[in-house]
Amino acid sequence: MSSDPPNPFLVRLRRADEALAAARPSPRLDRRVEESLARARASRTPSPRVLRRGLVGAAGAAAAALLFLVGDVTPTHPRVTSPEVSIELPDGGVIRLEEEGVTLASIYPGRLFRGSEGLRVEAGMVRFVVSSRPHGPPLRVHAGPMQIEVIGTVFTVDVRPEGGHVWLAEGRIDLIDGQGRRERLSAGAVRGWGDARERWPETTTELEIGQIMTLEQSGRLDEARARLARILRRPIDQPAAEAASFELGLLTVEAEAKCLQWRRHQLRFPQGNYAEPVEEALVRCSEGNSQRSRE
Amino acid sequence: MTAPSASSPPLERGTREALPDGTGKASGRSAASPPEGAWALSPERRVLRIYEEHRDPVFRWALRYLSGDSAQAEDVTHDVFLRLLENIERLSDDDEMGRWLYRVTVRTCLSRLQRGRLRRSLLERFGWGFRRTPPRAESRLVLADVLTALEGLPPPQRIAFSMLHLDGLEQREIAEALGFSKGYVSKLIRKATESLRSAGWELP
Repeated sequence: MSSDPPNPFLVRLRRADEALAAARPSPRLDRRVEESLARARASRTPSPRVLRRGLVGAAGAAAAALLFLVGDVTPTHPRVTSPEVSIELPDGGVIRLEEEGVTLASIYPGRLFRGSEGLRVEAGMVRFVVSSRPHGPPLRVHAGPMQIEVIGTVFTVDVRPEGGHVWLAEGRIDLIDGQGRRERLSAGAVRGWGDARERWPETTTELEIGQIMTLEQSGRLDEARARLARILRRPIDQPAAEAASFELGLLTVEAEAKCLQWRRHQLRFPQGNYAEPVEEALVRCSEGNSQRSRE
Repeated sequence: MTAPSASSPPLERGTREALPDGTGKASGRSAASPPEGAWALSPERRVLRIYEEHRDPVFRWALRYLSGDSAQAEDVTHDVFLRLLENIERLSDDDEMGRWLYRVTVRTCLSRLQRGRLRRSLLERFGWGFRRTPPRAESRLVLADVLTALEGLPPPQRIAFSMLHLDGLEQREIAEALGFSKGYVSKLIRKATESLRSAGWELP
């Protein structure tokens, strides 16, 4: 700025900044962006590839987690009306409902009910990977006062006594609220109810992560972990949720709890920014488990 | 750098700086406000067109706030345009687009710096050795002493100080871009200045 005094520090800072201006991004950045946009476009029209990608993530998690194959929720005859059945999913539990064409993975312990009107999520945080069904009726999922109609997509539902939210990862869903109002959601959208009705502002979350950093630096780890866990049940954007989930994994000290958090992270963000380090951490978890079992 | 007016979108300033000939923002029809049936374009195609036009200034801003770490600046640029895809339907004109890209870039840099700082302290403490790509050699400068001094500041102070002295923004504009109160921005800049002074730098 011309009005600034010729301060030595600011002069050097601006010269350094001008030198940086010569830098240009590498051609690799163009390819990355183009590929990401192409993937986003593909996910807007759900196809079997969408399901496979989701299942790859779920399968990776299942290698470290328990795989629950519950026979009595998979009817032998596809035309038989769905039996009414309760489904309990522990932490990291994965189940495939063949008739509905849906794979469920619980990020926090889930309890669902399957009846003639579809699936109801009664509690917990559950990730749905739904097969494309262009010619069949949509899958109906009930969560709190919300009803979700699904053609083929990947989404997460979080239900707590006080409220909850739906977060759409891929494809599209129709969301019908308690008053019957229908809204079509696109990938990345999040909608909440109850105490999670308002979308949590991104800036607030970032500020809070900054405050948590201060807590950690002053040794208040329990408080920092509790606040991160609360952030993870809010209706926030994926990048903030992903960052909070990763930080919670880092902050957790006890080995078993740490591995559980990494499994939760992988189930919730199978293709996320931290997929590689989380995968490495889970390998270390499985190595640690093997060592403990040998002892 | 010419001091920007309050009504001037940060994008124009950044673009002007980023273009090698210093002639300012490219003229002609913008990808951000396509008037001739361009709404028929898919959201991804629109984002790609905007990316082609605005990639360099966004990368440049990221490089500035990340002290020349080009690998991280590329990550931020990538993330900003993916975030744009999520919001493309509600963004239309050039002015709004420029402000939006600038705001999201600085916030993404701030968030990344905060997480990086937290992660480093945790890794040192708990020893979970995640790999980190070191900054490329060409991103380090002869004038690196001032950038190193900035790197020593907490991320919000570092970003606010850079926005004031490199982007030439007023405190009100910084507060708006970062989603902070003006009072908090004023405090951040004051603390940054005090820290740099106590490190031996003379500052007004």
